[in-house]
Amino acid sequence: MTQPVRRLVAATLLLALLAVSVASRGQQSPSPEAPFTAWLMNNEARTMGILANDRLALERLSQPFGLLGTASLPPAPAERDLWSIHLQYYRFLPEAVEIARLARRFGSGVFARVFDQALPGTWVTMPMMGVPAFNARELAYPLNNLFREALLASIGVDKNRDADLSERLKRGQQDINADHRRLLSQHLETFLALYPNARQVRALDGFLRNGMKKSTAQGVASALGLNTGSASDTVFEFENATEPDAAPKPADTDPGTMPADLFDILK
Amino acid sequence: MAGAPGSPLARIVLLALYTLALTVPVSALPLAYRLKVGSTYSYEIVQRSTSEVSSNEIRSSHPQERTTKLEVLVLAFRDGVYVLDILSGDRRIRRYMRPNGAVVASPSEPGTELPFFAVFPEGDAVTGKPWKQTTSFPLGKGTVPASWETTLTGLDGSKKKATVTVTGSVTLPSDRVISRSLQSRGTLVLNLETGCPDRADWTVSYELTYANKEIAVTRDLWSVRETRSSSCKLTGVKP
Repeated sequence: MTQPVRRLVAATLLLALLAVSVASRGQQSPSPEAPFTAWLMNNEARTMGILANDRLALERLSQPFGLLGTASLPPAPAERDLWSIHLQYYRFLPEAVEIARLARRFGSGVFARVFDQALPGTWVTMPMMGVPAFNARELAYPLNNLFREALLASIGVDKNRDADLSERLKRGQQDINADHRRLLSQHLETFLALYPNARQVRALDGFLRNGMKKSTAQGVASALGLNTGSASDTVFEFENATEPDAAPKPADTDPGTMPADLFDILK
Repeated sequence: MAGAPGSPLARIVLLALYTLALTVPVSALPLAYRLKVGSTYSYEIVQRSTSEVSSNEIRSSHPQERTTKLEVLVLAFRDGVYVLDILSGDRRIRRYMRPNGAVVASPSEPGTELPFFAVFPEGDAVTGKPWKQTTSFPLGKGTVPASWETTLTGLDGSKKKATVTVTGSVTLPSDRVISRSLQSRGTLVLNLETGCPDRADWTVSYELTYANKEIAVTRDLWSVRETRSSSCKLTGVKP
């Protein structure tokens, strides 16, 4: 294949990728973590409702003697600490999914080559390299970089944020201490035992346990025109389960723990 | 036959039973508050509460403690009902209470907030014989049964102070996933001479356990425990 034809094919591929990227942003497809967070939130909501009612009963049993009527101590419900930990998960999991998606999309070395060949900036600035006047040669490189950054921004990539996805993953996790990360892992394990066919949650669990391959992070950095990838050299499995899961079917469990509809609690 | 009525063995057995009945101290006396109209009874109350949550290895606990003063002003006694003003900190409530501890009215406390009070047994209370009262609490869309068991557990040597034990429980619904329990236990030392409690201690315990159950495996998600205890001591009576 000649060089121009190769470039034309590469450009077509890139434009198709851009079109798919923009189109997919408009859709509200369920996030891979949604079944897990729905399950956890529903369990929380059920517990909150029960505790609110039970505390009324607790209050009515707290004064056995009518003569000695004292006000109860102000409430200090300890379960709020647990809900705060879960809140960290609800913030972190979409971030982890986003990182995994970026890694899957840009972690391939093939994509980096296509990207370099098809970058419109390269085509525009290449003729300028041969122009000796008007500082065209000096302007060519910054112009090319601007093109690159504008293109990355258009497909939702921030050069500073995403240059090292392993670092971004670490940053996302920094508010969650080791004990709380272990709890998340145990909750995921429980969820997967209850709903073994939730493949996307299983893939997410694998991603959180194993991190990314070094080559994946380097591929992303390369695609972004940087070389700062420092991911651990471990297995990255998220790309193995990309299709959205159907509503997970539970094992032999109480059906109340996983609503088909997250707002079932309101019915 | 040796065991027949009138036989020597039967006489010995009857004599032994009669002796045993005389040696076991069974007391029967009426339990009631006998408060003096116009008097103020002062108590010091130490309240403690702990709320705990655990989920796998994560544990969190919120203990609290407060010491307050409680004053009971006996405003009147009419038609077998005491009118009491109970002051504790900024809180002032008025209760209309029978001598057995039953609160018949409390204008500042709505019916749904009025505690379920333990009352003294009707008639003479017999040592060791529990007296049960039941009610039901609204809970969610239904109601749950609640009960108090009041028992005269002992008299002191001079027979001036009676110790009364109360045991309360609310039967909360449980299922495969959630189990809950709510219980209360306390004692009250009633001074039979002054007709008011010298001391009272009680503890209410609540527990909720949330677990997901597979075919043969139970996976605990989290549990919540709450304990509230109070300890009251009479500090003075005026006048």
